[in-house]
Amino acid sequence: MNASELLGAVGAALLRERMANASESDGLARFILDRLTGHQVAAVVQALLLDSETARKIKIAVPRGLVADLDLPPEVITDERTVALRHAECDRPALLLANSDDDQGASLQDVTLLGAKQLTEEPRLWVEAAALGLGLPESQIETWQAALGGLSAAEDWTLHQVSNYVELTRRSIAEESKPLLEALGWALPALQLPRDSGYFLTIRARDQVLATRWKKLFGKLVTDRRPLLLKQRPPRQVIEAEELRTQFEAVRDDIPPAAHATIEAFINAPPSWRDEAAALAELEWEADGVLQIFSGLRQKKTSLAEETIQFFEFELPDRLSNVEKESPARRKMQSRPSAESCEPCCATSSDRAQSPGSICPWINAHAVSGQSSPQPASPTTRIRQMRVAEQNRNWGVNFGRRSPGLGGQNCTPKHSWSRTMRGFSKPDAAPRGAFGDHGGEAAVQSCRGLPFSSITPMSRFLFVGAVRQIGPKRGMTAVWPPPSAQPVIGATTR
Amino acid sequence: MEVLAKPFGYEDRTGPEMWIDEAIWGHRLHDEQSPWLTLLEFLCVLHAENGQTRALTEPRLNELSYKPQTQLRLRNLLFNNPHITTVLASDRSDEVMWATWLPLMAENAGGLDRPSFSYLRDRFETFQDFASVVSFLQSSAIEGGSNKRWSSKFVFPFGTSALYEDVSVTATGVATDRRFFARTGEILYLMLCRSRRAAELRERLERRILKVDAPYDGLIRALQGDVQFARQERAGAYLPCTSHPTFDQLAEDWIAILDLQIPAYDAIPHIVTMTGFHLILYQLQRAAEVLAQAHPISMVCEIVSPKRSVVRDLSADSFQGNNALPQQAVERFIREIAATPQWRAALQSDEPGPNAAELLSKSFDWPDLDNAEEAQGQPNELLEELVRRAIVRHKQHVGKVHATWARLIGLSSRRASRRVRYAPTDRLLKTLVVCCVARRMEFKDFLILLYDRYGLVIGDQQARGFIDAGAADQEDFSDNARRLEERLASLGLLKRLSDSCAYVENPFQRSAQP
Repeated sequence: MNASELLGAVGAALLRERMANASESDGLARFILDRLTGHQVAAVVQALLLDSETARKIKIAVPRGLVADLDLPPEVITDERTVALRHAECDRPALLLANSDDDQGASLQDVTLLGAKQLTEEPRLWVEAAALGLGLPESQIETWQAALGGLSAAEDWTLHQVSNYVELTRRSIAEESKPLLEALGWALPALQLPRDSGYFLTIRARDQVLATRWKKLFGKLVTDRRPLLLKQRPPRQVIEAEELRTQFEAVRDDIPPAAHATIEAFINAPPSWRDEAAALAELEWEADGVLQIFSGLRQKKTSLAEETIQFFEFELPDRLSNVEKESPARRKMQSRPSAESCEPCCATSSDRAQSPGSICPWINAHAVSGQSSPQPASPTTRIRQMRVAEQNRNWGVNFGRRSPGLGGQNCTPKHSWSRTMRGFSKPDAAPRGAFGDHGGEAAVQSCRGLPFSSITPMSRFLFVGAVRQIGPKRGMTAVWPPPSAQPVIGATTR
Repeated sequence: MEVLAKPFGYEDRTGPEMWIDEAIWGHRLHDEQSPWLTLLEFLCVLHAENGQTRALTEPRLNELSYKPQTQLRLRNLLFNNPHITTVLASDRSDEVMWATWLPLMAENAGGLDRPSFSYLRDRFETFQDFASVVSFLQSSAIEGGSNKRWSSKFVFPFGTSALYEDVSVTATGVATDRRFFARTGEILYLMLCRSRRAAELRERLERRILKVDAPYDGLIRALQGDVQFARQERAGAYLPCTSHPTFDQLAEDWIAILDLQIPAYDAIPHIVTMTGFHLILYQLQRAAEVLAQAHPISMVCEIVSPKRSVVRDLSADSFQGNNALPQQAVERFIREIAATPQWRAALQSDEPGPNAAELLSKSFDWPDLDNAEEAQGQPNELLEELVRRAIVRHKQHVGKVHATWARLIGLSSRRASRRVRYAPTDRLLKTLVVCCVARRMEFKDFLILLYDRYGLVIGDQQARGFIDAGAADQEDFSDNARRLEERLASLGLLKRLSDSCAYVENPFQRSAQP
């Protein structure tokens, strides 16, 4: 059974179910194969014709232009316009038409549609068709259905991809006697994902029938691995061919020689889905060493400053002056001072007060006060402040089990409560951190209630920093969350 | 692929360090020169050449030389005039305000040998009137609100007096540093010169822009006084091909816009958008020619949908693929030399290194043969080093043109996604309708036209390749087209007469006779 026959079987089964649900009092049951390709329509019609009982009950009339040269019997092909057939006399209880979304498409929307979405969202029918003759136990059937349910929930797949995935899974079970979980991983190239037979083996037995669990696993594959085949890191940063080449050279000896040519072809190919990427997807993720080509690539870390600059470059070019652009960049440089450079002069607060002219940015009180968004005075303070920020995030969590009699209480987790109480009497104290003692909070205050356009870029930058530190929830509720500002917030708080 | 010889009649000491991007696309495409600035540079060239009665004609290939206006008095008044606000705020008598402002202005003005603005007193009845005119022109300026230097801000091209080149004004004088007029406007001028409909276009540009006595242009003349020209001619423009389908289509689109019954200043924004679009297409098509791609350039456009879809992914892939094309072209262009008989001869010679260096220098202007350190090495090492340097250089500006300009003209977006994709904005859609639809056109024909002319893939008929390959279902693209239909209807650009009959209408031709 190939993918096309599988698709036909699912379409025919879906039609049979719909027809069975329709009562005679409803009159003629009209169905339309909605915006499917000629091959897909032909596959469904051929599957229906194989079922003589159903074929007797349904009149089939598909446009000649759609299925020409596809070996369908002449009695199911029509030269009439589909809208004319829609209300024509019919001597059978059901009528099946096909819509290629030509000029009649808009007029045919009220007929019961059987399109790609309706077909892909029926995991039970796919498994019934694919499991035919495999002799799988009921538990495996349930697992397969849950897997396909999770698959369609995780991403928008095309009918072609789903039918090929199911067909490859079936082939793996039938021809190579693989267990279902392994076959599901082996068939992943049909979804433009790298093959990984062992990927689903870690799923616990009791989770195997949970579509939500499968959705999570497929979602992770889509997020983490699919971009790699397009030469992108998961956050969609482009991977240069040179990076891949260097990494491949470093791990070449650990990769089976048989895979080298495929990998080299992939590295030299342009970054898009093409034959080279498809060939790489056919290699096993772990056994063939595909994982190793990508595992050494370090993600380019982007700081808030860089993201802010990128945001303004993309959304509001020319809005930032050179001075403003330099400021976050300088902050980026200062965000990780080396311990050696700070240690000798960061000892005590009195030292700090006595050395206003010091070159160390962390202790120079005068310099700090002169900055547009001053850094906190010492690294120790920064650590404490980060702890406070963490407390703020946890503050107010309902730990119901602690006071069963009262039905739970709002408190802070124990592991940090005592430390918070000892160090800081007010858990909701103003958050401080990389943006200084007051920089972020001041920005929040200065932005309160103002329209987005009237706030200077630098205030927006500081505001975003503040939101990032005090948590999106507090940041968003503390001040205005104008819709136009949300891309910044989304970009910096993820 | 046609690549004209590098012009040797013009010596530029600060010119390109290697001749690779320039040989493929011309001298030069530059990401920091926005489509607006490109049009302004083009108009500068056009006006200067029109003064010599040779507008849009090119007697000899790549020998363009013109003397642009500088209009420094006007620019000082509009963009280097901080005192006008304080003087106006003092709210004193007209006489006192003039007397206070004139010396301050003369002291502050840059780039003028003998700054004097006293002529303005004869041209404006009151200081208040003068300030209002300045304020109006500032508010309609191009790049007026940006943080660019004052000498890189431009008056909206109401007329020929508003045209001037970008310069750098420093204490040492006025210099043309090509910071924002980086010759992309010159490329545009040469493209239109070499289009088949150059003569028709010239007639329209003269009638609509160059020879119009626009009232706003009169205001600008009043501020500027006598016209100021650059001291030297500007030469060195280069476009590598004598003809290209993009040139003809560009001219056709300009003509379609200029033929609309709307004021020229309303037509100019549409011209800017289409210019940006065609320059992107030109860059991609030339890259595809270098790479000998069999299929034409296409751009899968997502009409923004509320949730993630197959079309969104394909659109982002399409953007990424196109964005990578120019860099691949640069690499291929260089490596092609390894297949030439000259290269093989150099390899087989007694001194392969120096001979290969000489060949590379002759072909790509790199390495500098006088620089022993740069020119030494084995042929393959030299070639690899050239590729590396060329790519680094390409990434700085030319490699960013596609992404930057697509965003600027509203062709690409990151809305609701982390990936940039082709997702046309309402502004671009309106320009496409204005440019492509003569009066009205059936919606499906409009989609076909967008695909045939510009390679825009929106509906299922245009996406047949993706559907047949199983990368998308027909309904994905069919829904995409439906969203466009709704968008156009909401913009007043589409009318649905019945279930099967939706027409795209040009809003500026609606009342015209069929």
